Amino acid sequence: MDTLILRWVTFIYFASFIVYISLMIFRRPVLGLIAAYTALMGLVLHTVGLAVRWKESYNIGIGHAPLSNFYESLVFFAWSVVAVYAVVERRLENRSLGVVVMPAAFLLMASASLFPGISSRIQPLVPALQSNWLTIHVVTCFFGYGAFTVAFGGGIMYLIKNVGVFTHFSPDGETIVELIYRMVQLGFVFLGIGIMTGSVWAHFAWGSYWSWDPKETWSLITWSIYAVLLHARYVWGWRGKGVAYMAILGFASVMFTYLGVNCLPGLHSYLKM
Amino acid sequence: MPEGRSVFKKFFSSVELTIALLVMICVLLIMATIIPQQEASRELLASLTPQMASFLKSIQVFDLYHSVWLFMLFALLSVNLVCCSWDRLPAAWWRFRGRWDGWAGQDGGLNAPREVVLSRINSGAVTADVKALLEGGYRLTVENEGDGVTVLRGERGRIAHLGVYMVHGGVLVLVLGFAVGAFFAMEGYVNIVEGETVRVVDLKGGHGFLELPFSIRCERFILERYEDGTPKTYRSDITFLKDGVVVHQGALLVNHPLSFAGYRFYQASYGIAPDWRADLEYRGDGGRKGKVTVSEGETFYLPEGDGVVEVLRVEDNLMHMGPAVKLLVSSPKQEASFWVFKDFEHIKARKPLLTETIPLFDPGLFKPYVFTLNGINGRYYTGIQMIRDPGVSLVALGGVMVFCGLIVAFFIVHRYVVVCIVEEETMLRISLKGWTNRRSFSMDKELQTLVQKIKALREGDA
Repeated sequence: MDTLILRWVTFIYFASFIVYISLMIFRRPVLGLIAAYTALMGLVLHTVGLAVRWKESYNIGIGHAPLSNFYESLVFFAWSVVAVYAVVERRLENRSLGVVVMPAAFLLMASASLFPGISSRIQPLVPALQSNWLTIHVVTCFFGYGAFTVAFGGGIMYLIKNVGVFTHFSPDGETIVELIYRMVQLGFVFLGIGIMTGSVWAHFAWGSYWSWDPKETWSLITWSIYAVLLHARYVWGWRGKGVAYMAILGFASVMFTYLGVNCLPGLHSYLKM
Repeated sequence: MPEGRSVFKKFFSSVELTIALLVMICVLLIMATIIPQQEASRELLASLTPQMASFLKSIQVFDLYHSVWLFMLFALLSVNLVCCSWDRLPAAWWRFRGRWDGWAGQDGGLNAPREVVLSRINSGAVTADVKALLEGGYRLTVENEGDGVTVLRGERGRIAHLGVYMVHGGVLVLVLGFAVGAFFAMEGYVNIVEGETVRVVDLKGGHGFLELPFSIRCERFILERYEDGTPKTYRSDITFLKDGVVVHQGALLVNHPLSFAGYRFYQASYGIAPDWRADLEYRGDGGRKGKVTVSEGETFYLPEGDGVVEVLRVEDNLMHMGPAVKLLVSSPKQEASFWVFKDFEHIKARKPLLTETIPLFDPGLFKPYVFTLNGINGRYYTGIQMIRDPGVSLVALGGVMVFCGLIVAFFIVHRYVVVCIVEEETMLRISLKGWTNRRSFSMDKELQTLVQKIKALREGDA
């Protein structure tokens, strides 16, 4: 049931993306409104899907928050991206960023449903994962990833704002850079909390708050890259392209931290799941 | 900037250095995740020439996380942080503590003033209303400069200037705590069979043994499984004894450590003790059958000289398929080695082609006999980790400082407004100026809002 709902959400996000593109092409503001509300509808349904999955896990006797395996992480990542974006779009009063953010959400959801190796079955938690820290650690990390994804969208937007169909509706460079900064600040705080709660959890579960596990190490690398971005403003007066490029580089690091580390052995490996 | 500032000072208090160090740390860490480290590097080492291998080992390429390089980078970063803060904190502290004076003709970087002109009637009430309006968002000081001039200064969020230093201070404390842990932490490991007591633990990293001033006994080990055989929860009930007297006891679960004598004890793993007994049954042709209870390493004979069976291994949970026993059955005519699973029927039902694809899992491999495992039982051992890390409290403190500092630095804004109310012949002239440590447009908006609110105060009057 929950996977069915989530599959619908995938399509709704795709539809929203198409409408955002049409906004760029046809330049009618009403399209922006439709795209935004479609995405919002998708987000609501997405939340329902997560809640249903959570409840179902209790029904079959292995109750836990839907945050414990690869499928669930992809789905929650997509949720945070859209949630962060929904808040941002309202404050920005400009709907054009949807054209770069919605495809990210759609691709995450699509990967969850379509890749053969990813099981959508609700699986029981091994003893090490049976902790309340699981929820807060995973949620804060993915909120961070969500904010960084929107920042990445901003970075892309900055680079294409003078290209073709995007010229008319894109916000100006300064606004985009300011948006990137705010998103990076938000993501930095969330990821920081995520790393810290992960350490606290490790301290109680495995006796050591830091063990240089590849995922731990890469999350620190990601955090440092964004620290560089935050400092670069004061040093080289980065106002434009530099910030955009760093936002994109940071996102590459986020994706490696999320996915790439599974190729390296360690505690966080989803390979077994 | 003070004259004759040494090159040393300039270098170490530069943000460029910070960025360079952060980049270098990232590069080192990336290398460390890609190049196999410590035990994992054995394979790679074997494929290199001895000279190359020993050279790389000597520069700690295979132990980067504990290398002098990483240590130096963090040490330099710490020096850099201290120098940066030393350099910039005084100014920030002045901004935090100092008097803000932006009126009386000086601009002091405040936004261009906005004005509201109202009727002079009821000027006292207007002043009081404006004061109340500002008090809603600011900490206010009022000055009556006489001659019908009132100056209201409002301010909030002064602490914003210190946020950055809280973050950096927190990072320093974190790095210090981590260093203390790296040098002074003690980590040990011990397996205790149910019912047994130990006094000696193995130290991590092959540093030998540690004899404890107390003993640890595992009273009981309890394991619960899910239906498919994977562990659901497990727990050890342990007691701590001094000279044979119980001084402390508790239950140890994954995610729930126990503290005692300055150490923390963790439920790390478990296994089956070597003395596990397996209840085996076998059936051959012509009514030949039998039952035995055996342990690992024992042998027994099949009836009428059909062969001898050696029990090679007893496993509690082989490949998530439950209890299993590995047998080596030999006779002059044939020899077979295979696993006998306790839940063989269930496994076969879920994977019908199992024995065709993996003959090793076929309990009937030694024809014509078929073996069944009715059960295994025995004692478990519990794997306990014990740790004492004096740096943990520092790391925790550092974490809290970084978190609070980030909130202050990113989300608290210092705002300062100056409202000057001048009584003229028939009018009341209210001028507003503002300053913020962030982007000025936010202050513009704030002043705009205030102007509208002040205008609204007198909307009631004609």
